[in-house]
Amino acid sequence: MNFAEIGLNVLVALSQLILFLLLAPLVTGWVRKVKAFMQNRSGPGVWQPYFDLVKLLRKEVVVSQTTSWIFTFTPYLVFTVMLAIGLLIPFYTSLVPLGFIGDAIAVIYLLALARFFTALAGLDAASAFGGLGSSREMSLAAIIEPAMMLAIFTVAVRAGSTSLSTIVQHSGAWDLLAPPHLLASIGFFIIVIAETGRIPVDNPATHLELTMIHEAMILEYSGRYLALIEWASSMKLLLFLTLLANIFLPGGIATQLTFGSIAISLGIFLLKVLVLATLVALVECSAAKLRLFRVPDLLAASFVLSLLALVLYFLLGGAGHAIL
Amino acid sequence: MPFCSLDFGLHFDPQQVARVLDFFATFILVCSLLVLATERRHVHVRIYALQSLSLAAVAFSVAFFNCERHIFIATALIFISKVIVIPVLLGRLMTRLIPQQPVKPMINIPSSLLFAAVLVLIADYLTRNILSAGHEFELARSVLTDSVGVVLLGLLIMIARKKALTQIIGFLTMENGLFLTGIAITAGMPLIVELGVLFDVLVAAFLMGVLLYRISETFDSIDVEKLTKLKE
Amino acid sequence: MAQIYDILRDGFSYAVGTLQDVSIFLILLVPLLSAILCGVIGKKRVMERTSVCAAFITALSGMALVSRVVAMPPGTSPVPRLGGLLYADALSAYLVLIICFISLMITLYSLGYIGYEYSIELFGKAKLRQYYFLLNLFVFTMLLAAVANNLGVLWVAVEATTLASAFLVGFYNREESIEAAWKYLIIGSVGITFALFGTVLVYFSALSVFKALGSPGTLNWTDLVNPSIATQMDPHILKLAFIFVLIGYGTKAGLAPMHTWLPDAHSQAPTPISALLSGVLINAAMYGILRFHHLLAASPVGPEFSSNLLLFFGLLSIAVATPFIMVQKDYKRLLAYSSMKHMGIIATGIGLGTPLAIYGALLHILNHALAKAFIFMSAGNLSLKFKTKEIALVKGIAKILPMTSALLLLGTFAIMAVPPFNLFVSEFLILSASFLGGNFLVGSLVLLLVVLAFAGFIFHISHMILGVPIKPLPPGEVNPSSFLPLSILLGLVILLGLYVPGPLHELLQQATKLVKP
Repeated sequence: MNFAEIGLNVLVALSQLILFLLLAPLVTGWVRKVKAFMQNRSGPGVWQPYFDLVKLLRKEVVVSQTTSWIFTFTPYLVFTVMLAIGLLIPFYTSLVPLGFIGDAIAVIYLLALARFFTALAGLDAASAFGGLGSSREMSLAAIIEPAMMLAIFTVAVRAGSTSLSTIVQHSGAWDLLAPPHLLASIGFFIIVIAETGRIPVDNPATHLELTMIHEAMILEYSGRYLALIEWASSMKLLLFLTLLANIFLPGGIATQLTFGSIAISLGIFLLKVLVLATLVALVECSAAKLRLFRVPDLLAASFVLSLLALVLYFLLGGAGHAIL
Repeated sequence: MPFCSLDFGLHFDPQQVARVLDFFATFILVCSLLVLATERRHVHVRIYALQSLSLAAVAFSVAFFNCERHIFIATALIFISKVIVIPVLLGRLMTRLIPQQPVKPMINIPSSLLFAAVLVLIADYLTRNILSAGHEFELARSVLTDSVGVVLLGLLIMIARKKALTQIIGFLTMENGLFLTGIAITAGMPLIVELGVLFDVLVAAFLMGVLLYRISETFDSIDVEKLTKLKE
Repeated sequence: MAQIYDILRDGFSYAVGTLQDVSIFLILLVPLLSAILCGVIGKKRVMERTSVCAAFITALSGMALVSRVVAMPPGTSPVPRLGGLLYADALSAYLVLIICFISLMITLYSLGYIGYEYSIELFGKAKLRQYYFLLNLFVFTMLLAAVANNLGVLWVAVEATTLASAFLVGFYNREESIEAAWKYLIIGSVGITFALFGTVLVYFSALSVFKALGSPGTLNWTDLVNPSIATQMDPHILKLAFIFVLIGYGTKAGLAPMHTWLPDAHSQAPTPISALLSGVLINAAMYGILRFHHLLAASPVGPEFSSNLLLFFGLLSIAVATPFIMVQKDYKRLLAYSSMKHMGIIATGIGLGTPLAIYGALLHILNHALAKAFIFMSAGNLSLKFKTKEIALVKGIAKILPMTSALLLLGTFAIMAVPPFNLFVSEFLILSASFLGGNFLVGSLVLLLVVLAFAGFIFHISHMILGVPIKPLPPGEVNPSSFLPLSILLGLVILLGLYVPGPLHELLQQATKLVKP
């Protein structure tokens, strides 16, 4: 490997990081815009999340006196974790900048780390809402995480590796209409809805105590802390849409680092994310928020779909029952 | 007589045909899961109609791609009886029944879905020996497991939901699983058997409907839990 | 003169020959036509006469069929009819004989029983029509099951028995009877679904063999057991198929633990129907299992697999039924559990697998059918008078219904296999076969359970017969016409306890070979 290649790799990594950071609020803005359109409102522009972030970063910070260091540490941690994951998943090239550090399982664990600290921070301020949000979040996570693992395993066993880079490289030749793949995709889509706190699982646009999950945990934050957390949730949305786009709807991703292929791949990638974001917004508009006690039903369905996908994969001529 | 692929001079790759069958068979399995995941009875009837439609699609594919002409008749009968007649009958029955609050299911939805997952694994286990014995399968391999799964899930529906109407749906689901096996792994049973079985199922569904109506009249409820007069 | 005699004799033998030829169609057509006639006309006297005539003709044709099958030289297989759909060998002829005879008795009994209930306006005219229509249809479906060659048609017929009899179980439209009918319909249909699954699997395993031989696939039993086919079938699939079939037909046969519908349905149905369900229907379901048992025995799986399963389920059924017999509060349920116990004994006999045990089990089927119809009919007379099925509310029958109480007592001894009644012979055969075959555990277990059940049964019945009546009821029978079928049955129950007639012995021996080749 010569210096030019290393330089190119560093360049790709940096560009991916910057794109991830900057694109994330835009996706959030787009989802809101589509929702507004569907509800016959004009709504704020797609750039509004950026203005919000700038405003919040300038505002004064108010921190409750009863909180510990965890409360101020959490926003930085969550933000950093999301950034790190941004380097662990493939965006518009099959090359994963930090692929040598961790695979899909690392991504799931990093997400769990962020979730853990957010929940702690929710408890830290000792407000009633924070505790409520944390307990709801953790109880749902108990189903979300295994379901997410199963969905990712379905594609991982197909590629024979849990490395996201390898999965993406193999995925070009997959039959997207095969039953296991379809089931796993539906299962993972439900996970995306649940993980990013969308209707019908959670509603990001409300502060109604009956329905809040994620919003309840971050209710005490203000100023730049809130900005970091909001930015991190935008990144999380983009991150899950990316996983969906690149793993479950593969195709068009650049496997060589040439300028032309990267440009095409970038275009396709942006298009896919845009379409998926629209889909999420459409689901939000057409579904009603589930009662909290009905949410496990939906998540269990996702779990079973993924499990079914895995079973069917082996039935349809997979590599034996090695994993079961 | 309807035309099949060879009449048009078309030749399909058996693997592609198997993919089509796999697709519909999996959809039939997912429909039974959906019944387990919902509580409203009119949704159940619609899902059943959808499942039967998928079954008709499987039958049509077998008839068309494999040129098993007698299955065209079975397809038409499945379509008429299972997609139209039985759902319409059940729908009309529901408008006559006493409106009910959704009763808490015996086994709640997440657990019944997890049971369902276990049952699919059991179906896999039961059929693995047969699949690994290396038979020449007429059509798709995985359909056997799918259909055993559907039969077991139908049984689970009957156990998990103690509503008389849902028990009928469970029975009909099991029956669909059987038809799936009959059509997909053996390219159709002898026609006389197909006809007899379809007729039996139609009559059974009709009788169950009438009996259900009597239960609702006599007990003011269609909750099977209330049927407790007879025990030791 | 001698010429006329010759012509008459030739004419007679020609007539008998023709009757034998068409008997397999007659036994199906006559009940079906009678059902349609009853459904269309709906006048009480016409329906009664039609049903009795039809049952009589069916019984005659059944006899003709049996005589044809018995007369066939050993080794030749009977010719299947209707493109191989219908078929009769010794086993099916034996079952046809039981169905025809018992249903004739039941029809005769129905005249008095249902007629009495109609006369006290327990139900209306439409119900009466429904009764005779469904009764004939029910008999038709059972006969179809007996002579079906195609295993798919066999399934269709057995499922049709459920459909035809479900409304007979729920006949009285009371809460209890609707509940029983619902359980019967749901459990019966679901159970039988498994049997269809087993049938499909058998077809699946046979199909590749047929394909290899270049012939089209068929579900005809006669083709499947053909050594060139049976020995080639895949044992894995057949094992799985037999498990499904055993669950499926076992549900209808009342084997534990799939028996839960049986006591409800048998106790809630009108008594003639209870007798038909207990005496005949469960045998038809057992017949389905026997056909598959033969198939497995002829295949590479061998007879051990299915025999052991039958033995297990048979013993389990006896063990489950016995405690319920001992603590029973309802005398029709008592009889229902006794049916379950006898089915267990039959399954055990088949499962033991020696020719003696199988002979005993087959004989037990007939004996149980006769004795159970007999005791159900006596109990029916009782329930007509007392209008209750609770054992505690019935006392002092001997004072109120002396004739019925005597018959009930005789029936109790018969059903509990006391010598000289017929069930003793067959039960003795099965038990001695188990001891001769070295199955001491099985034999002693069955013996112990039978004795316990006997104690429970005689305890309940003696309390009903003796004692002082709770309510003062005027003495006198309400259903005197029932004594005709009752006395015929009593005669046979005792006759078969003393010896097995030659033709029957011949038939049984042929059938034994058909259960296990």
